[in-house]
Amino acid sequence: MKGSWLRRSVRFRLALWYAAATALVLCAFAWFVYEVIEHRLAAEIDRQLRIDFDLVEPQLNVDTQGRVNWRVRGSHGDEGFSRLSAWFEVWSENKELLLRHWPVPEPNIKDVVPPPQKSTLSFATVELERGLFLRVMERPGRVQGRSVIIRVFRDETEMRRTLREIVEVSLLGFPLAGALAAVGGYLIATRSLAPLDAMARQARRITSESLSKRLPNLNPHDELGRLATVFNETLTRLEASFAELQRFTADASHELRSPLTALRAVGEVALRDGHDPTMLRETIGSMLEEAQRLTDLVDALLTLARMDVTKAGAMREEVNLAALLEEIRDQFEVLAAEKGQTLAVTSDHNVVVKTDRTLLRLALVNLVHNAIQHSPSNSKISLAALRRASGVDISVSDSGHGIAPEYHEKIFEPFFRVDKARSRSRGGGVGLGLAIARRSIERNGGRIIIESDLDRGSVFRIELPSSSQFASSPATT
Amino acid sequence: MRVLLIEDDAKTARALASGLRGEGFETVTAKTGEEGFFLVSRESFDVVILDWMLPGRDGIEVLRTLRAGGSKTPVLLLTARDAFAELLARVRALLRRVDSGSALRQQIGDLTLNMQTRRVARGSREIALTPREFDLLMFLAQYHDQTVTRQMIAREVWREPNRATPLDNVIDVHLAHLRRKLDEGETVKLIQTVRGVGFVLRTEADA
Repeated sequence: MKGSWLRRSVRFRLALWYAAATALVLCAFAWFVYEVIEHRLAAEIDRQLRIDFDLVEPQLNVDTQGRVNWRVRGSHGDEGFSRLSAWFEVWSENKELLLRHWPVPEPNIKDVVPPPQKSTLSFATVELERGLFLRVMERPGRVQGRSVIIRVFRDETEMRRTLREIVEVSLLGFPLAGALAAVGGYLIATRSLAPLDAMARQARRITSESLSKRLPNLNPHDELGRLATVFNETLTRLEASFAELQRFTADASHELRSPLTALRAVGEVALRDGHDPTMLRETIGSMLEEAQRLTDLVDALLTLARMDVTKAGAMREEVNLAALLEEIRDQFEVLAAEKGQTLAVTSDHNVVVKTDRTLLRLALVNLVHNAIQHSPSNSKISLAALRRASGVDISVSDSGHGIAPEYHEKIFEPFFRVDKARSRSRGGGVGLGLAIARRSIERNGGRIIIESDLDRGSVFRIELPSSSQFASSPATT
Repeated sequence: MRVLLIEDDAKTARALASGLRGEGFETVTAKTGEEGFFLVSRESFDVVILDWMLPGRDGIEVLRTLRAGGSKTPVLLLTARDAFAELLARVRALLRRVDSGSALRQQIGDLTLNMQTRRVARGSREIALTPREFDLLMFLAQYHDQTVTRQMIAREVWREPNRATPLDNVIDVHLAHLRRKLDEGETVKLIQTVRGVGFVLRTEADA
């Protein structure tokens, strides 16, 4: 339960992270400070030991019995090195103690310090008793021509106390600093997340009835502003597709209702005054035609709907565009010939595209059919495939009535007809051809552009991206 | 020939059964898959017509259960957009189980079709056809005296399974050409239009 509560508050998690990060930084810093101070203090003690050595060595002499004595000469400005604080031993080269000067009673600690091991310069730290640390320097020296090892001592306790205080202060201070960081982090997080809460509240108020509302966007350049921008863009698209869906449903209902009305009217009238078998057959034929129209319409609607749900790209294959265009020309030439139109195919050499052939063909077939329908007799319709730097272009050009610029977008909408009177005449199709064409191409990752103006013919241009292009040979035209 | 029709919609079932009986099939109907199983296990049928969308379990599931039960009766799945003409053609094709295309020559009235040389003649008049027109005529001849729909032609002659492809106009134009070449100036019109359904190749005018 605790975990789920943690997961529910970004604010709390941010504060925790913030505190953890602060503690980590503090620890690292304290460790660094500790190391530096320890190093400096240790170096200072070692420096003091060298000074002690330099002071002691010349003050040693050997008396007539061969014993080493220490005589303080006060002329060296050695105020800090009095009889009280001086702490040293003189050893012979064969590890015999010659002189010991300790400021503390000797028996307490005698056994702790072993005789010197080597006769070279060396530093060591020894613990005499609990809490009492000594820094030891051993160094070979000469007393009146005799080789000895001089050992000087300094108390390290002071230094260690200083270091311990640093640790204590840190241990006391860190939880406090961590807590402060956590509180601060929480406050900062609350403050920075407040607009997010406001956005969430506003977003909740936006429902399908009020899709026109948008989130407030104070600063479009910061992270929250970008989020609001993205959200608003999504809302705009959602609103558009909602409107499109409503329009589509209304249009589809209308288109479905027309054949149904016709079916009903024709049937009722025939029932009322039809006793002539020939006339009844005519009526049934007419009703079947309407039923066929309904079937075609439902088929087209299903095709459109399936295109929205199926994943594209699963059926990719290499398609030779010239071959595809020629195949389509061969199929539709006869239809064009009926109107005295010619269908011409031009193509760059060997334009090959990796794409869903069925979808591409469906789009092209619908475009060609559309061109044949809307072009006057004895005109020319051209199909062309061109290689571009970033992909391929396939164009279907006619010399028909053309389409006014204000309809260039609308013409791809389901059921849209520029010429309302033309609607549903024989061969007029169900008004979904261009919508199916566009959806097929978009499924293939491309787009359809129309270039047209009134009385100047139309060019429908399909642009397929190069990501799906495979040029299998150098371009030649 | 006994046909079992499994179809939940009473009106469709009645119409199809009556149509099948009119074509000389003894037809039994079942409303549900369960009823269908029961009938299949007790009686023997030459073909089962199965609605694609049955309440409870769909046609595929019923078919799977039938096959799991060891039934070897040919099964034909009925889709919503099948015209009766198409259903009839498919039932006949299932029952016949022979490739009528294997016949090298076909004679329908005074029309002679030679599949091998791809030559067509009416009486002594040789008729020159484009390859597509020949294929279309061959298809009509294969189903002679039966109505074929544009959908069947699109699928079988043009090999175009996608119904959203606007082929109907293309088919109509080819048929018009074929009709002009075959029937112009003849007293017996071989290619007849069945309004709202499709086309039929036959030697006698409609009764």
